Amino acid sequence: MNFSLGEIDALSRKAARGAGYPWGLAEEAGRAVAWLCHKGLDGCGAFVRVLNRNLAEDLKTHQPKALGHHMEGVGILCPITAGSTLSDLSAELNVAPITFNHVAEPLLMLPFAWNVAKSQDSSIVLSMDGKDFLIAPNGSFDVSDIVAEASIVSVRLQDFVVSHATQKTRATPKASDLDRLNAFAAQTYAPATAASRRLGAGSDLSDND
Amino acid sequence: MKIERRSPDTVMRLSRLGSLHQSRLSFMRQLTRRMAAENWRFERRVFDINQAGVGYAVYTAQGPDHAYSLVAFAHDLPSDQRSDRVIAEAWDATFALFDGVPDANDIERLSQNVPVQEAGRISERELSMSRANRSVRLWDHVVSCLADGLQPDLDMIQSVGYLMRTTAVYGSGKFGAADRSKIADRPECQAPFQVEMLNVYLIRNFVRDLVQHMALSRNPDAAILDSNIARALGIGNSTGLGMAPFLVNHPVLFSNWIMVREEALARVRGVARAEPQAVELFLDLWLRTKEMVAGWSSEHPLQRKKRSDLETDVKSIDEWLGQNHLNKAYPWDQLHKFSNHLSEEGQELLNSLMLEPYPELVDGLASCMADPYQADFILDGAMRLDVLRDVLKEVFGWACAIDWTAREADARAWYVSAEKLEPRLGERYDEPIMDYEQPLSPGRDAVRALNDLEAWSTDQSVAAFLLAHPEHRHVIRRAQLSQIAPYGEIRDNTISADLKPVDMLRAKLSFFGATNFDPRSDRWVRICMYAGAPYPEELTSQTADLWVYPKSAA
Repeated sequence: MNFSLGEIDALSRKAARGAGYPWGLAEEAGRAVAWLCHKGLDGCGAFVRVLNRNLAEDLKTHQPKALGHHMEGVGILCPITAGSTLSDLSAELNVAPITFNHVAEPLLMLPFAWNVAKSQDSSIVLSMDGKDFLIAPNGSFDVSDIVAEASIVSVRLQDFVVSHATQKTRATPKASDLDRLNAFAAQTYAPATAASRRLGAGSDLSDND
Repeated sequence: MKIERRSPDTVMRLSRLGSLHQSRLSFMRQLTRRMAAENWRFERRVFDINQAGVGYAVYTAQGPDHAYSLVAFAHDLPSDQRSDRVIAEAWDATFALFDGVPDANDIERLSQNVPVQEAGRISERELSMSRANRSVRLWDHVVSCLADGLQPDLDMIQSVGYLMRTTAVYGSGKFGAADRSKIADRPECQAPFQVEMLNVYLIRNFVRDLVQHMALSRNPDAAILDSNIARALGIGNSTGLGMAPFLVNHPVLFSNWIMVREEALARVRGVARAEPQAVELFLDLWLRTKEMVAGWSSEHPLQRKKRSDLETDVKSIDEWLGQNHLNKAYPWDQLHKFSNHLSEEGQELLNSLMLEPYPELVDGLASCMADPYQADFILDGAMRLDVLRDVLKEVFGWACAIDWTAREADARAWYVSAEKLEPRLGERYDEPIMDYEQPLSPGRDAVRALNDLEAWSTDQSVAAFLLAHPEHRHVIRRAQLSQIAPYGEIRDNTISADLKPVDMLRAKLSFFGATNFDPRSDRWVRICMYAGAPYPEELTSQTADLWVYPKSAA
């Protein structure tokens, strides 16, 4: 089954919230996953693997301890918090590269690197343990092998030309990943009660008129 | 004289948003004007419906570069299953808007999915999915009359307004439909909600054909529905809370709608002298508007009060117009200033109406009503915290004046029910919903962020603040978006004990071009669309625009 990118964005946002991320980061996650799917990459798979690590249960441990050009967490870094921080520090890349120690599913940082590329109008290299992922302001990109963890993700501005410009209009997540996303998303839904059915949305007047 | 747009503090209050009216910027009218100007062709390709009213039909609208087809399924719905709520599972009719012309395989695929709506899947070939239920009283009346060789009663037609009402019109990627990006570059889809409006326009055509078919099934010599009566019929819509979060979740889009209307109003108020033809058109439409107001019925106390105030306003407006002020300098600005003495219903009615004589000042603005920006907006982490504080206070200053420790201030919470995933509004302190709250209270959230900012020095960055307070990322993004979307935030408390969500629904529906707002509760409203509009075979540049105003008074 295939899905619209809007569906993937909404589902991933809800799944992130259901897993415990604050809404603002959940929104970043939704956009990031949908963007990866747009590029033909398995954003859903990568994000499910992040969610399965339960990082949001103790987010402070899995985000950078402090801002800087060399960042690390107490534990493994969540790519959504690390990616958001990278995006927030876009301008700093003009001063020097930024590195993150020990990142889970670093592929999910690629959409945030694109934010940097656009805002700084420069191509970006994300080097994951020496393997380069490239992204240009126009969205063209080049990826290396996708890894579950990277000891070091370094990000720098660098001029280069990439020709890879895959644009998918639909996402095709694996059924098992979809089930996981739905299960996490379901944690944002309040169990219905008789009172909520009656009071929460409708009207007491008849519709059969 | 340069007139400034009204400030967001004036415009973005819920009571005013809940008093907005259709205008020449409305999405339905943009569509009918375009289809007439571009000479769109319409064709009923299939009408395969049996005597019991079960089957399907296909209607194609052909524009300059693209065709769009309504695939309509007609069902025999048991009366006890007829519900407007999103929790319904069956309907009198179900629809998809297909991109192009469907073949037999497409029809087969849609027939398996569209009739079950949310329980099915549509594809990238479809742009919109919807369903409708009969207005039982009017449907039976019209079929019986026609079958008896008679025309239906016009008063009854006007008291209901439609033979069927839609209970959801989905687009933009929902349930597998194509994302908006597929069509966003097509000129006819550039304005907001054009495929949804086309969907409903074609549904209206189908419904007229279906009611005639049912009468003819009963009696081959049945009367043919008079075209003037048919034209008075619109398509109803019944809308609940699902629409309210949309406005909060799309601040740039909503801002563009409001800003365009405010810019149009400012331009018209800046007209130094009104040409006689402009005054004549305005006065003609005023007469017709009064007829529309007189025919606007609602049983709900909320709307009855507003309507009664509006009737008082109508008398005042008549009096003012009788004094020939429109022949004086800056007549529309004078009218606008006079209107400040009226209820907000009356004010906004006039603010919409005075745009009518000036298509050259207004219509070009319609191209600014879409939102190409929000999805790509990147939060500015380098912003200094003193700047952030100023932005938050500018947009959410009103929220700082609220005592958020009082239970009335945050009595409500928005949540999504596990059942049918329907947005609902609950009582925070009475129901177990707090853990499921949706981010639909930017005012409260902004005050929380401002409180946490107190401990931070002004020269630090948003990036540093967000690392310590990721829970404020959502509202800080909103605050930064407000710099490109000055009218993007509702400047009222969306979780207070006295919130009336129908105000939010009405604001959105008014931009569609809806009329006859008829609240069924404080969170549920019925409206009418396309009443008075020409059917495809009647659509010309003469009929395409002012159809919303009843003609009999003219």
